[in-house]
Amino acid sequence: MTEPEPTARAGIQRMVAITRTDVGRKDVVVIGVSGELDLLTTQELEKQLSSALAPPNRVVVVDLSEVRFLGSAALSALLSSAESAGSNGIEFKLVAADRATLRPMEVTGISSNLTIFGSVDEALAGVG
Amino acid sequence: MGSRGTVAGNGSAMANRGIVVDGEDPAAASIGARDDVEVRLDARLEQLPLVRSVAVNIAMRADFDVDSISDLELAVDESCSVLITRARPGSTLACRFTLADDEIVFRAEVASPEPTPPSTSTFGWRVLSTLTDRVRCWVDGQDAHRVLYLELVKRRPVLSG
Repeated sequence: MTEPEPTARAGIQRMVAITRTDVGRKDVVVIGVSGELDLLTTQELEKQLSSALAPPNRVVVVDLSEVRFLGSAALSALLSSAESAGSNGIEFKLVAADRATLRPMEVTGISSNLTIFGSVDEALAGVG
Repeated sequence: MGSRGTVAGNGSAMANRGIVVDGEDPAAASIGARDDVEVRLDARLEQLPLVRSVAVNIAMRADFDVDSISDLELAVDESCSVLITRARPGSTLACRFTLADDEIVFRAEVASPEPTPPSTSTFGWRVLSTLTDRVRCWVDGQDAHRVLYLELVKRRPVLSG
């Protein structure tokens, strides 16, 4: 997709915030997302995901607890990230705790292809 | 003779659709327009949150449950995304919510240069058909007057017990 126009860029920043949290481990990445993930704002998430899903990273956690809307572009991006992580030997984990995110993943059937946890702590438990 | 045939020359949006009707929107014929909600906005992706919030409000007002509200929000968002990404630059996206006894009908249209409706084999279309009770997309009109339509129906879930 081409770069969004300046007005679109301002719209994206109003709608979504995506931050990478340092958990003190070089090979573990936690990406926190808050806001609404639709066709426009998912472009931002895709950028972060594609840079995170590469060696030397071994575990990538995407925290969706603060996401209020999850559209089909985001569902599709999460699904293809899970596939690409799998083929690169990277563990891809999602954190989702409420209906706004769980319902879309369940009703479309993609939750069976994803690993979902209730909190970041749970997702990181047992990561050696 | 009423208004038959006048539509084609009256300069309204209807004139561009290449269909001849009795001067009324065929979809509205059997439904009272009193409770309809119409939203018209620039066909740009930045407008998606606005349409989503209208969809959520209407579903809440119609006493849909939490999951059905979420389903309608996602379906309306997907529909508008489909239309906006195929819209003629600078055009208007027109959306209409019709409230019936046990269902919400959402119908949207946009001027589009594309001669055929989008593929139904995409992930997005699968999401749309999973989340709704009925969905269809079609093209009407010729050349510069071509319009892309999308209509979906979400029924109120039957409460058990």
